[in-house]
Amino acid sequence: MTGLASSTLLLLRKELQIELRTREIVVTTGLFATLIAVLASLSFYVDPDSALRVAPGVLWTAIAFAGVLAMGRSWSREREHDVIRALLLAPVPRAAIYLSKAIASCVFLFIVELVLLVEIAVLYNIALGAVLGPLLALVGLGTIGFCAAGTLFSALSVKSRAREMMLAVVVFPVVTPALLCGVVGTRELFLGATFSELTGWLALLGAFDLALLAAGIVLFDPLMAD
Amino acid sequence: MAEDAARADAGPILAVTALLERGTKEIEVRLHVEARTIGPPNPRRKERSAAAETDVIWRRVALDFDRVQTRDLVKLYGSTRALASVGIELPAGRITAIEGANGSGKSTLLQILALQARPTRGEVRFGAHDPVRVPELRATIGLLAHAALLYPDLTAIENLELSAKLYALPDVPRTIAGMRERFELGAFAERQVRTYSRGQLQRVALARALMHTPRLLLLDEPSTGLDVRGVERLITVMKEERARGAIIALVTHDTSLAEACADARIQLVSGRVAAPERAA
Repeated sequence: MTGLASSTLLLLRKELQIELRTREIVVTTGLFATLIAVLASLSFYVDPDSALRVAPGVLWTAIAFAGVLAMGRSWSREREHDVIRALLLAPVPRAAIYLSKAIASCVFLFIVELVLLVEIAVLYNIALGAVLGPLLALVGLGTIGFCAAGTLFSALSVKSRAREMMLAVVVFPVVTPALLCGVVGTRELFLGATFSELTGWLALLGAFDLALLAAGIVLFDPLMAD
Repeated sequence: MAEDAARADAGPILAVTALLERGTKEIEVRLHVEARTIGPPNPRRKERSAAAETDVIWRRVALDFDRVQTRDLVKLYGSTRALASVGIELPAGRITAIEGANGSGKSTLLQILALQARPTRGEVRFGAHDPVRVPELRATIGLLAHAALLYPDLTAIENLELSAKLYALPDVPRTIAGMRERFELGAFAERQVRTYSRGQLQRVALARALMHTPRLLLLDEPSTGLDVRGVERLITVMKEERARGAIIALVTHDTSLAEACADARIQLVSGRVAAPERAA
């Protein structure tokens, strides 16, 4: 069998190649996230003080919905022409399929998040420069956990007929801890917490990421088998 | 490094010997590969390439088999019985048609043979091997379905290249060039698969399914939607694969296709083998 690392890279290259050609995931999820940010700012922005409290919720809500959209679309590529059957037949570790999807989803979501952070800063009057480092750490770690769990269970949508229900019922409860850590950590940051005061949230997110990645690598094969 | 070089030198001779002992029909192809492996004395890159090819041959010799058998296969989906005590044998060098109406269990049987579904009871054997315990056996399977199993946003060449690399085939460009020639993949192969006609799709799908010279070839309703020319090409390819010693399972409800090429026919009715195998 081809090794895990080499086959993951091979499949990741394929994911990026298709996205570079179609741009459908980044563009559609980017527009969707922008829409959420704009609508929420029109509805919730009262004054700069309330904006600081609302912005974290808007940021992570946009990330969550954009992420589910991105992962659903990513797996639907495997459904088209039933190509997942060929992929499952290939002599590569099945964990490579999971890892390549998870990494690709992270990359696509990071791109969307960079745009989203600028929009949130403008719409909610937040000085990004002062919080950029810790904010990127929170968003980065939260996204890894979100993609690790989301990719695993979105994969079920390839085999399930109740795809949308599967995402709502299974994915959101599993990614909730990552989202909660992200929202609370971001709120504390916007309200003036220092980097050292956030290390607890960052450590929790890191541990959550590792646990979910390990679970994904171990569980993907049995989940896809029958 | 020295070990690799030594193995590259000794491997070809031993591999050919093993193949001779097995008396397979693939010997000419193998000898051709071995000749290239021994090749002109040259730099390290050639040695590494030779070692890689020899490894591929070694793996194939170790995992080779001349028949696929199922014993008492039962498959339940909840309370629905898709297969009931199915026992069949698919020998090398024969095309076995598995026929039946919709819902008779044909596709379930094929999924189990393709190791993409697990039987509730019973077992599948690839020669002496238990495919559940030897996941490497997946590399010996070629699957052609009604769906093309290709990424529509990639070109045919990119799809074939991806497949060749996933199967760790040596000399990918040469392999793809061979497939292009065999299946007449002309200029359209540089376009995205999404733009192909059904006939073009089928040619690329055949190339993808066969490029790693699978021992077991599974065909799932391959003639659906094809015109006469497409069906003729399919039959020709099946006969070529039979001649090289492949084990071919053709799942179809197209009686004329089965009559045209099958050596044996199995009828499934409500998940059971309805009649003993019969020659076509």
